Amino acid sequence: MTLQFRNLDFDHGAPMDLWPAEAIETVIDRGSLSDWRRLADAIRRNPWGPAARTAENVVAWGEHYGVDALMSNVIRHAREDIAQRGRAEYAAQIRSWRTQTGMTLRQFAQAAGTSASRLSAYENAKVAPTTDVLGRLSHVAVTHASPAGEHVG
Amino acid sequence: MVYSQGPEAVVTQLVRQLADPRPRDSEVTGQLASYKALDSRWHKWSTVKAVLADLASRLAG
Repeated sequence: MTLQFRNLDFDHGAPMDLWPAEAIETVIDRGSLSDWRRLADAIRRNPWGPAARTAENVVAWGEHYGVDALMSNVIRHAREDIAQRGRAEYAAQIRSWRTQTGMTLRQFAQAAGTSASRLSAYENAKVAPTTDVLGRLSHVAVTHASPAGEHVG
Repeated sequence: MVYSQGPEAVVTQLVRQLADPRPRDSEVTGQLASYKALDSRWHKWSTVKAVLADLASRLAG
């Protein structure tokens, strides 16, 4: 980090989420690769945090050749990763619920009022269910739970 | 235009251009398929840009 912040008084060693917005702007405007790496790391750690949101605003100005595109990609991928992890957690939970009932994909989907293909998409983390669907799946898991994991009725 | 100076100037500029390539002869980006022996996966400029952007992100990783 070789940047100078003549008008700002803050701890340069603090996480970038604690930096003033103008410092983030300076990193984007006048920084070099090592500065961008630090910002990218802050964004990946907290994709909706203060540094990420400031960076998102600054790159939207379209005034920073290359860095705008770079940081936009970093922000998008970091947020997609969060979404993917969320879908994976839902997927594991839904698969676990279905396993408890001993039902096939089709049986479980039918009982919850959705399609087998849609349920498969949930279980494979392709899409996340709405809270409404999640509630229905949970309800089916509770009402059809089988101690032996075998479908009853 | 080279923006930064110092020991990282070259790699910094490289990352800028990888992240947002703007070839001066932009017409050729629509004619990549006409180049001899160019693997078909590089025939679309959008694919090239995506790969370069990914590389830039990795360099900033």
